Amino acid sequence: MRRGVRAAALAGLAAAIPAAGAVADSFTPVRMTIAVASVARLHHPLAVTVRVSADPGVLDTRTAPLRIRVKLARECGGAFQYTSGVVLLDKRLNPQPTTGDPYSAIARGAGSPAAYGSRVVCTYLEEEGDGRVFANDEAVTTNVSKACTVAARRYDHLRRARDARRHRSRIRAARRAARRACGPGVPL
Amino acid sequence: MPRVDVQDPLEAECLEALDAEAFHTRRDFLQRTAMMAGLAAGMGLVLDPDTVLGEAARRQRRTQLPSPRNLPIDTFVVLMMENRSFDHYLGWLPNADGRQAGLHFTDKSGKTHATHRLANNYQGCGFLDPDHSWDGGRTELDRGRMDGFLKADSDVFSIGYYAEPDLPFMPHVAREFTTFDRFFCSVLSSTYPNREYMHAAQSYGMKANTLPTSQGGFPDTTIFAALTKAGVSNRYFYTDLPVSALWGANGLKRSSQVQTYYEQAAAGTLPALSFVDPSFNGESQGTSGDEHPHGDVRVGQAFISDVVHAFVESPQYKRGALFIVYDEWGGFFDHVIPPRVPDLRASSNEADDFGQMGLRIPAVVVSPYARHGHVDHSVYGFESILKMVRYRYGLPPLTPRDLFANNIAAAFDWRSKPRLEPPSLPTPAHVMATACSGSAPADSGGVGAGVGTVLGSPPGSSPPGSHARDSQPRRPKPHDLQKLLTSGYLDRLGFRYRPATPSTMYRHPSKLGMRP
Repeated sequence: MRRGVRAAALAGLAAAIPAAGAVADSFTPVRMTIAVASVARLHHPLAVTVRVSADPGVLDTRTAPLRIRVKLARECGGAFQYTSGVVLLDKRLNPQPTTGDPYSAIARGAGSPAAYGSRVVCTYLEEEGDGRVFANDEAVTTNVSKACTVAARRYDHLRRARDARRHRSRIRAARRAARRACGPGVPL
Repeated sequence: MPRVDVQDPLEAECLEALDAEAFHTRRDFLQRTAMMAGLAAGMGLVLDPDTVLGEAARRQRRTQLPSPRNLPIDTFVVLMMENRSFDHYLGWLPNADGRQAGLHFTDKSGKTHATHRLANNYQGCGFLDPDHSWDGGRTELDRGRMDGFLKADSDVFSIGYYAEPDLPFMPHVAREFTTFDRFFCSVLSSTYPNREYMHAAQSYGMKANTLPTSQGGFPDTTIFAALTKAGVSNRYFYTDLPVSALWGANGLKRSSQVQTYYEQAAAGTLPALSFVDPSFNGESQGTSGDEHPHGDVRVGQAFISDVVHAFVESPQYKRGALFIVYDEWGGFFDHVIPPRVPDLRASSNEADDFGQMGLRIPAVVVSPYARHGHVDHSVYGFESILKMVRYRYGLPPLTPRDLFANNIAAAFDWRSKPRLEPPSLPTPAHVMATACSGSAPADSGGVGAGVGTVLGSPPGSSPPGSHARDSQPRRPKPHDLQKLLTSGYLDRLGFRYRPATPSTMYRHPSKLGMRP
C-alpha cells in the first residue's frame, strides 16, 4: 500500500514538473537547487534550503574550503561580498568535496527580510578567503509582501491572545486571510 | 493540544497553530515545499525529502534549456569591439544597473571630479587613452572600492559617458534585443589577454599585450580548433589586422576579410561560428574603426550596424544569435565590482590572479530568441558565449573558466514564439574619422571634440554639434594590435596586410554617406 502511494506520488511529481531537458550533464558541473517561499513576511525568518551537487572531480580545483552563501537583495552583485542585502545563509559546506567523488550536500539557513518588495535570492558557492565564485544562482525571487505581513501579524495577534480558545472562528478567519495573502510557503 | 481534523488541512493548520509552541518543523517544511513544487501537501511526506526539495527549487528556477540538439541556433556570430565600459556606454539604459551622472572620483592630487557627458565628443582628442592595463585595472578596482579611475594613468576622459542620444546604433539595438548588465570582460587586463579568452578561455599566462613570437603562435586550443575537430564549420573575419594570427598559421588559415562575412551572410552560407573584428589600425591618428580611443565611435557604430544588418537580413537569422561585445572596459568608469572566478591560473594573490574578471562591458545579443528590450542580470563573461557554443555542439570544456561559467543560453526565451521578422534598426551614416591634430587643450578638465566627417556631407563641414576643435592625443599611441604588423610577426606568417578602407570595411561601399 505504502509502495502504491509512493508510486502515485512519483507519477504526480512527473506530471507536475515540466520536462527538464539537459540539467545534470557536464555543461552544468555544479548544480544548486534553492527552496525558498515565493512570498515572505517582513522581519520574520525566511527559511532557505540549498542543495549543492557536483560532477565527480569538478570541485577538486578549489584550494580552500567552500562556503554556500545566500543573500536576499534587490539585485545581486556578482559575489556574496559585493551583494547588499540580508544574509539568509553563510555556512561552510558539510561535507567538503573529496577528490574524484560525485558531490552532494544540503545547507539550511534563515534570515529576516528588512524591506518590502520583490527580492532576489542571490546564491553563491564560493571559496573561503578569495571569495572565488564556483557557482551562482540569481533566478529565484521572493516577494516580501505587505499584505502577507499584515494578515499574518493579525493572525498572530489573535491566536496569542489570552482568550484565544473562545474566538476560534475569528482565528480561523484570520488564518484563512493570512494563508490567502501569503500562499502556501509561509509558516503561520 | 487541540485535536486536529486531518480531513481539513486548513482546520488542522488552524488548530495546530493555537499551540503556543507552533514552529517551523521539518514536517511543515516538507509539506510547504511539496506545495511549491505543485504537489499536494501530503506528497511531501511520501516522497524522498531531497526529491521534493529539488523539484520545488527547480520549479522556481529559470526555464530549462532545450537539449543541445533542439537548441534552435545554428549560426553564432560574435562581434567584438574595443574598450568601453557598461556605465560609460549604457549606464542610461532603463531597468539596467547603470550609473552615469552624479558620480565623483578623486584624482592623484586629491581633487574631485564629477562624471560628465561626452555628448558629441566622439574621439576624446586631447585626452589620455584611459589606463586599462593589468596593474591599472587593479588601481581602478581599488580592492572593490571602484574609485581609482583617476588614480591610474588616466585623466577625466575616463569618467565621461555617452547618453542615449549620443550613440547612433548601440542604444537602438539594446532596446530591441537583450542587454546584459552583468557581463564582465574575462580578465582585468588589456586587449590581447581578453581577446585570447574570447577565443580560448585563457590567455596562456599573458598579462599584457604580448606577442607569442617565440612559439610562432599560441597552441591552438581555441573554440575554433574544437569545432573543427568536431566537424563543425567556423571562421574568423578580420577587417585589417587578424587577431587570429596570435595562434600562428592555424589561426590565419581560418581567417577571411570581413567582406566575405557580408557575402556569406547574404547568401546564407555563414559557418556555425563566426567571429568578426573591426579595423584596429590607425588609433594613433584617430582613424581606427573599433571604438578604441581615439578612434571616432561613430565609425565603430556604423560598422556594428553593417554587421548586424547583414546578420538580421540573412536567411540564417531565423536560427541565429549574434553577440555584440567589447573586449574590455578600456579604463572607463564602472560601478559594479567584478567577481573572482575559477581559472587555470587562479591565484590567491590578487596581483597574479587570472581569475579576477575585468569590469563590465556593453553586451547585447541579437536573435529571434532574444527577449525584446530585456536586461539580463546574470553574471557572464566571454567564456559564457563559448559555453553556449560548446553546449550546442557537445564540445568538452576548453579550460576551467568555461567549465564553471554560466551558459549564456539561459538568457534567451526558448518558450515563446521567436520574433522571426527582424525589427527596424537605424543605419547610421558611415563616418570617416579624421586624425586628432593640432595642440592639446591647455585644460585637461575640458572636453575636446573629434573632427570626424560624415561621408557625403559638404567638404570641410563637421558633424552636427561637434566643436571641430584642433587637438591631438597627449599620448599618441598606436593600437597594441599594430604590433602584429610593426614587429614583422604577420610578415613571417606570410600575411599580406591591407589597411582598412571604407570599401573593405562597410557592407555597401557604394552607399557611403547615404542615409536610408
